[in-house]
Amino acid sequence: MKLYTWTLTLLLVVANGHAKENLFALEIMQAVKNRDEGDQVTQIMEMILIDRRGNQRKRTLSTIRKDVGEDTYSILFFTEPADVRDTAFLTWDYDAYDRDDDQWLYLPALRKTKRIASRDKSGSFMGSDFSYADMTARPLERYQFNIMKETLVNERSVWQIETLPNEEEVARTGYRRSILFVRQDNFVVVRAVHWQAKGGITKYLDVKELQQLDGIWVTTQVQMTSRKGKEVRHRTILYNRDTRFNQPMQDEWFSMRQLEKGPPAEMWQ
Amino acid sequence: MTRCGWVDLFCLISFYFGFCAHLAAEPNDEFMQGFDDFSIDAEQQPVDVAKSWRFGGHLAVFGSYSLDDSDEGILKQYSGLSKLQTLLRVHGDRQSDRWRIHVEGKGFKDWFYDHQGKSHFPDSVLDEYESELEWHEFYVEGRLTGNVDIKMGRQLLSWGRSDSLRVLDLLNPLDLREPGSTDVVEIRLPVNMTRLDYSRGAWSWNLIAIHEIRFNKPPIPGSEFQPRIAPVPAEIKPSGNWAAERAFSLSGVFPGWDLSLHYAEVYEDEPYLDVTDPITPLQKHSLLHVAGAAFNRIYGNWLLKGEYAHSTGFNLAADPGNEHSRTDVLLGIEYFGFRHTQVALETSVRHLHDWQSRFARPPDYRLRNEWLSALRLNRSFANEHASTVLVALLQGSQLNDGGIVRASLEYTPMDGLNLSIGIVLYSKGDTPPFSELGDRDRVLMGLKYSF
Repeated sequence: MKLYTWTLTLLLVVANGHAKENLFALEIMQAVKNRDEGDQVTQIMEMILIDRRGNQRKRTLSTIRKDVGEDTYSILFFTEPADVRDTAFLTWDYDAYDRDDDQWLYLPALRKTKRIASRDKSGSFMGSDFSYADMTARPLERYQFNIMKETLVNERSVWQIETLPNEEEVARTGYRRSILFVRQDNFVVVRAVHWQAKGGITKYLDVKELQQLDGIWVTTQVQMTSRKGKEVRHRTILYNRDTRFNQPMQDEWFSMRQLEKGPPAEMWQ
Repeated sequence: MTRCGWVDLFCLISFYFGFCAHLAAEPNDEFMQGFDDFSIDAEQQPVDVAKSWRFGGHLAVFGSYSLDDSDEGILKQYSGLSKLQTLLRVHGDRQSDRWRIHVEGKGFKDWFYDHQGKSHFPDSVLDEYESELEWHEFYVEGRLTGNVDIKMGRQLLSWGRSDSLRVLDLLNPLDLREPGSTDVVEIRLPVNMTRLDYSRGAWSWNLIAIHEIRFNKPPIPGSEFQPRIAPVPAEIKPSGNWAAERAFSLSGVFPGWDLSLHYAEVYEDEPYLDVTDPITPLQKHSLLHVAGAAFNRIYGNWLLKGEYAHSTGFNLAADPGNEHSRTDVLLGIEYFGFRHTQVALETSVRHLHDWQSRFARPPDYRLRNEWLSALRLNRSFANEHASTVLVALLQGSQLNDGGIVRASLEYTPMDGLNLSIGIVLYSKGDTPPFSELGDRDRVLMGLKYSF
């Protein structure tokens, strides 16, 4: 009887500890989500797409982002390569996890803006190894987080956190499991491994350069590598350049009208 | 502590450390080998602030090879190789703080006519198909006041929600000289217009005055898609003034859905035959009054779209002196849930009110209900190095009154360079425009370099 009582008590203590760890993991992820990423941001994004033979293609975009309450509005204008120049992409990214984002794509050859259904975010972002899900925030409510251990990445202490999405989120992102490496001093995800639910591809996100601009941590070079087994299938290097915070912006910049007009001239001032 | 107590404690400690050891066990970190030290020498170009002129465009070669051998008249000339066209399109943009100028010109030369011998073709065909040089778009746009923009000049303006069918997209005529051979990207023709846009919150208003009366470019008699050479009655084009055609729209964009209302007074692109004087019939264009609406609604991975238009002012050769009205309805659905793939299906019906059976006979060929359906399937591969497009355009309520099916594969070996190969299959129908098609199946090839 005594043994039973002791065992039960200890199990409860251990389970409680484990639950606390999970709670702590969630708190870390909440801190990651709440990390100051700046507001009213303009940026030049350059993507180098590298296939398995080493052939390179380049995509260059001008981006504008603004927080509107809890939501985030962003607009991307393609400037390179020539065959996609002036293509533009507008997203109203809602914080509420049960609300689908609104997205529009401007196709300059057609002079037409198309609305896009955006629940499924597993597709490739403009041919890169980043998916649309990688470019938007994750609804924490749909994940279970477990701290695996504390370790070092590039001589910095990180939490290694396993994230397990629910079924709806697996369908939305295409990832069945991820492991994130969160730097303890600034809550930046500096590495991640994503296992795709289909196709046997594993994607490796690696932040190669991280800078503090105006007190805000900015990933200035990120690599995403798609592997099947040990073989590299494709790789994307993303450079974020000319990042500027707190730029004067108008709400109408995040409209279909602006998509068709191209980047506002004021963006460069 | 009793012996039993020590045993209990030992058991518990063993259990605790065993359990904790399990919790703290190092996971299999083999996946960490997936991180590497790969790097490249990336040249970072300065940002193009675009205050000076910026030029771009593309140079392309398009070929087509007819799969149908015909010995009949002019079609004999189009057996086998039927097109070998070089095309150059150049555009320039200059942007200042408030204004932007866009200039675009294009020209083509089809070497097929040199190869085949120009003497085999009527001059009217050579004029339209052998070479062409024209200003395409040429406009100035900018901000008049805080919420009012103006755009003046030759331009394209897309109305409606459909990608493949046209119910409300009626402000720009189409180049239909080679139906089915070219994607909609290349076939819209700009017109001179002035457009005022006002926006406030979720709503925007557009006022449009069209200064240039321009109609569809149909296949030329004696050409591949209109082989019969018959006398064509003279065409009377309406005289233009600064607002010979005018249009207005109001659009609202909201989370998950959008809606627009439209009104236009425009001339019908296709002419009717005015037989008031039976000796010298004339081709004229009806002035239409069109009121319509369009919407989009998102449901998860589905996009539902619809268009409606009610038009009055149609003239018919079979009923001179009376004007008729027509209602057009389009419904479409698009699915984005397949990875790298988009599927769109659209169906439209045109209902002619007060229809009489004689309207269905030549030269009007107007049915009471004209159905047209389009299926479009796009899929990309290998990080968008390659893509396939399948477009099927089918006429009739049972999809059996003629159609065009086009399948193509595009490959991008490097930035800016695009290779394509495709096939177009034509099915002849009973009513225009599909009554003129059939036996024109062909393979298409293209090479395009964008700069």
